[in-house]
Amino acid sequence: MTDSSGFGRPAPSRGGRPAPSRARRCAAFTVTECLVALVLLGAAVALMAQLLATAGVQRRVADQHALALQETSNLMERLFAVPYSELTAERAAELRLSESARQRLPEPQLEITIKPVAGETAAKEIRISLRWLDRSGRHGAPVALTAWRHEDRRNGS
Amino acid sequence: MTGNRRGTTQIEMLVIISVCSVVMGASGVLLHGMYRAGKESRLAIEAGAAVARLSLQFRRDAHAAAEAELLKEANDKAAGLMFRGSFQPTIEYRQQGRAIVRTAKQGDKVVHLDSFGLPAGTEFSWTLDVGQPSVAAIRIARPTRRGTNLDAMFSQRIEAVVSIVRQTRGEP
Repeated sequence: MTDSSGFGRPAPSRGGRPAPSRARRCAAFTVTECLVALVLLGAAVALMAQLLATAGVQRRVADQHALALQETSNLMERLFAVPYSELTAERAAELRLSESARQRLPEPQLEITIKPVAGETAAKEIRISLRWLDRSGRHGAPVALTAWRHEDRRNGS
Repeated sequence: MTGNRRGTTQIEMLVIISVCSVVMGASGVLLHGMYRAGKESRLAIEAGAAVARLSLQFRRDAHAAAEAELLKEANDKAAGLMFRGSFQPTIEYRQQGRAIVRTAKQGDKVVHLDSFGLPAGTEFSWTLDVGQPSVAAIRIARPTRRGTNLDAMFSQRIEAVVSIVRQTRGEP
């Protein structure tokens, strides 16, 4: 394609008198066009590469979310294992994140609140919220899990 | 003049061809990267769905069970977990190839079989912390990117308290 435009165009100009300068400009212009097209293509490729990198980062963020969600579920399991009477904020404060979560989530902030809920049967609201440093260098929206635990039934019905 | 012009054209052609090859090389690398990224994210999504399903089922089984037992291989390595209850089928979790298989057995008869497929290269480990109450756990580590140690493995641990239902109901 570039071959025919490079050699084919100047050929008819050889006969005419005012043509050579125009033909030369024309041939040069074709090369410029080609280069411009290639540069544009290169820019598009660079843009796509950037997009690809973004996709990779997004996948890592999704992995972090999945990990945080699993982590909060595990902590909730542990809190459901302790007897109802021992379920206090002090007990919850003893809980620690797992090794893999501390490795994967930069500067994790774990917050567990336990508060009593008024109602027919005594209940406690457990809220576990986990946030970490995201790419923008801030602590983003937390992954939070809330559960309500009612007093053991052996005391009641 | 004609010779001069032809020479210029050749150099120009060379320039174009070299730039062209550079761009084509870059797009080749890009296409390969896109293909790989697509494959990786598909695998990650599949793994995520399988792990979510597994953790739900695993926790449910652990909560409902009366007791749990670590299944051992001949070389004393943990190969799976078993949950036993008095009025329900025995549940076994085992690794089969690159999947975790959940088998529900009534006596020796298999009542139900379920498989949670995970990407190739996934490693599993099983633990059971015996205590009051016991905590059963599966650790799943899957490779994230081939060749680089940047983030070697993505590991997740699914923990479940054994016999939580019985405990809260105050059954023996």
